[in-house]
Amino acid sequence: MIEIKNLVKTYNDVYAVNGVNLTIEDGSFVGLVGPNGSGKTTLLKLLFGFCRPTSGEIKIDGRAPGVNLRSEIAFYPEYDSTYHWMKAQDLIDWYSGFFKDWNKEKEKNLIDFFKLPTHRYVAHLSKGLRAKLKLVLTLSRDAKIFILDEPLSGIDPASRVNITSGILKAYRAKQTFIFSTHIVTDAEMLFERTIFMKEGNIVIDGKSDALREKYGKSMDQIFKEELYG
Amino acid sequence: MEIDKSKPIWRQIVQEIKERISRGDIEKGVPTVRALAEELGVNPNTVARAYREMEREGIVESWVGKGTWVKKESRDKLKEEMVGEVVVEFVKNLTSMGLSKKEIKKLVRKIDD
Repeated sequence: MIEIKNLVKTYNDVYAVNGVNLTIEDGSFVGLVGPNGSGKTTLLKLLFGFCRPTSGEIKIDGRAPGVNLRSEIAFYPEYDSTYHWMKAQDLIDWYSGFFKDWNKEKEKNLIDFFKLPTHRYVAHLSKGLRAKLKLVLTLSRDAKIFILDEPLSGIDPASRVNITSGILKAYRAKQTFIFSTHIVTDAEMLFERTIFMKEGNIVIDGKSDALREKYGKSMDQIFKEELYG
Repeated sequence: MEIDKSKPIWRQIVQEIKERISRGDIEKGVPTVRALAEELGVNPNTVARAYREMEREGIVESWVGKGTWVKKESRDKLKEEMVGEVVVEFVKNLTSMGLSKKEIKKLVRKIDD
């Protein structure tokens, strides 16, 4: 279980995360929705332990994030974390060596599903294929928590469904998924729960189907109309 | 199946499965939660919720490790239910157009000929 209390993170007096309270149960698939600059990435970095809170508290199964928890969390960064001078399969093989929970079968299935040409150099892959390669690196593990930061950003609309289907295929019950995005419509059916962020704060949070009932709107419409309307 | 993202998805899944059963597309075994989730592109927990609801309504039953199965009497029951809904709607529409029940009966008999 993830428990966040009064979490604040400032960068030079600018509040990136401004007093977030949040509990995420094991096995939930959560969409973290908000525009660029709303604090999503900072919140995810704090969860993974890339940076420390200015104040407040994060507990993952009772422990503070950091190096000791990284073996249990798989993180998909928004930036390009691949090495362009390697062949895709060499990169996967090298990367997998760092993780005890690497699942070779999942790796194979994802490569097949994404039709990833692993014999090619990473430098020669399109941006979309590099994103899929990054997903193979993240999702082939049997981690407890998966943090995906903007896996749809920079992906052309035609490929987005392929990406979300791949994520759905990799998802197993009892695993926690946190999926941040500002492109809502192609991903919202994956989100059991949707959390909307604005200016460093959570403004709407609930089970997606309960929110659909309450507002009579899709998550995408809530994002566009309730947050900015 | 076209999903309307502005309405609760689990309810639409219940409706879809009921239709598949009454059409005879599903006779015994309901697709596994995972298979249907991947087919529709929705979270498996949403599908599981729909199945739980159908179990509560007595349409299907599930056993651990054996999947979810349609009860024998469900197809006829659902067909009756759905036909009933259509007929009620049909009569309502014609009544609002000013037809009496007698006239509607006459009309239906005409189709028969």
